Amino acid sequence: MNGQSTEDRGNNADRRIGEWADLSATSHPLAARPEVLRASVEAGVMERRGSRRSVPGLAMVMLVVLVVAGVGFAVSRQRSVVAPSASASAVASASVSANPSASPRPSASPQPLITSPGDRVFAMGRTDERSGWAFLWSIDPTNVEKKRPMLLVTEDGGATWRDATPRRTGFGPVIEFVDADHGWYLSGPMLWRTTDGARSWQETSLPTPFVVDTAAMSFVSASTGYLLAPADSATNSDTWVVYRTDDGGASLQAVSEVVLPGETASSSPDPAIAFSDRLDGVVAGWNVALQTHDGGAHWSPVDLPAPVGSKTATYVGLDQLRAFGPYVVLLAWMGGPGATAYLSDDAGRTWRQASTAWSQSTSDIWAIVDGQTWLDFTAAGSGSIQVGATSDAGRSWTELTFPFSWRVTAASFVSATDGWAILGTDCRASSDCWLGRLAQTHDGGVTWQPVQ
Amino acid sequence: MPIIVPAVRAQAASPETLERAFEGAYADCWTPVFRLALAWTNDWPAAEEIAQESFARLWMRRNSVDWSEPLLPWLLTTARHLATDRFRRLRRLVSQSRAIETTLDLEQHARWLDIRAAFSRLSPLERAALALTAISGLDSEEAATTLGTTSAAVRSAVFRARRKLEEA
Repeated sequence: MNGQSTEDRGNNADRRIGEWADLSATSHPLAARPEVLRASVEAGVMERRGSRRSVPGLAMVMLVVLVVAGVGFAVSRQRSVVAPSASASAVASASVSANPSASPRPSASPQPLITSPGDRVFAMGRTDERSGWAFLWSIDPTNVEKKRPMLLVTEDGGATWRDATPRRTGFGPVIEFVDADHGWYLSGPMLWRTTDGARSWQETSLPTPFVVDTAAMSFVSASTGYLLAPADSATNSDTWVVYRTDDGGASLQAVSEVVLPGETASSSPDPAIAFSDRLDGVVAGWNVALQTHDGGAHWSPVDLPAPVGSKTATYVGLDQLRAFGPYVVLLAWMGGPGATAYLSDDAGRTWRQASTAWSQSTSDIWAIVDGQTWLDFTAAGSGSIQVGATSDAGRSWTELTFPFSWRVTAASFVSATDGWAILGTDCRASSDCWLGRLAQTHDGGVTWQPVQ
Repeated sequence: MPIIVPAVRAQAASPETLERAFEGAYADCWTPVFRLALAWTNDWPAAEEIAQESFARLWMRRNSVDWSEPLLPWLLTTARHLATDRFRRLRRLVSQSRAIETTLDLEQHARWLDIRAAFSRLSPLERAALALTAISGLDSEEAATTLGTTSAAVRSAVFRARRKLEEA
């Protein structure tokens, strides 16, 4: 190029590579010294015994927890956003396990009402307009009695909450409710199930000799669901077992095994499973996405088209996988800087790209309401946020940018307008910045109020 | 490959032995793990966080790790996953929206900004393939395992990376 010889150009590349190598060898941050890491881990911040779903990240170091003061969620509107109503999905999030021989055992006695889930919310989900749940790492980290993970549920839109934590839990359970009454909670080797809105839980253990701390699940009804768990969590195996239940999780039958290349019980984050009905489902890991149309007996690769602007379709990772009847939404990493949304309207048989160049080029948090209605929250530079909304599965988007000083770390909507989000703190100030406080919106994310 | 083995295998190790093994892993593996994270993100603070978190996870799983096996493959795979996951994206945004806070001194910082600009022309896969093979010394099969792709894709990515750097 431009008068340079081939040799010069090669030297230029070697010089750049050498500079990169030299400089990258200088990284030795104090916070990552072995003794500092050991102390931080042993202080309990990340001691979740392998729950991989919730990655604390930077967590470990210099734990100065800055509790963010004041919740001023009102924002000014710069562009109008269209947020048409849509039917709400009942599914909150995903995953887990059970054993046929375990005897049901109720747990969780009635608890006093709680007025606020606080600011250490790790995960949450909406079940319907009135019901939802929040999983906290603690409701009061300064109180020894209350310094424990908790599941809270509300039945009045977040005005009051009750402690619905199963008898034993870790810090990274997988939680799913298909309606206000029926839900499942996986923590460690136990699957807890409720049929009364988490007032009581029955436990079963996985039909495997291994302690399973990684799993995914998908229920298509109160009785029928599928579970994906490592075949052997004690080795390097990347074989996973698909289990099925037809009695609400009281018993599980192994249906088949699938291989997720490079994905073992210790890798992170978790794979996902989503079933449209009793026969049709998708499993997505970090290197492969698979489909079944015979109840999990046989699996074949999902055929995703190349993203717009790319010649090849290289599936490299999973962001979200959700099923709503025949509609399956897969947010996939395709080698670009952001997730690409794919939609199938025939339970995973065929797929089309449903995100715009705009949305797939950003780093964002998606709220998948149903097969047609999605919201996309993207940090748009310092102190502002961009919200994209579609009610026609990505064919058209409306965008809104407004000042916003919080980080959206998770979002769950029951319609295009009505939703919750976890608003996280600044990672510069807090090592617990993956935790946050719950906020609600009734106008598609334009204004937010604390849930309490 | 990951090195999770039955817990009983590591329970016999004393705390002091585990600490020494962890310090050895840090000494041997920090730089290649950081380099992979840096290649994937092209973001120095985020890469240090990713590498840091990878080692923290190793220590969390100390009782199920076979410390006699090579730890680098597990650390690299964990770092690659962390670099891609949602939390990392959020952190990257945060780091991009502020003045870069790194362990670099002023002179190094200036050099990094220059190098980062050149490497920004490469895709994450191209940078990562280059870092793993040309810099950290993995062969294309090992790099492919870490990156969740084929060795042919790694070789192709390295070729494209060099071509782009020749023009930089």
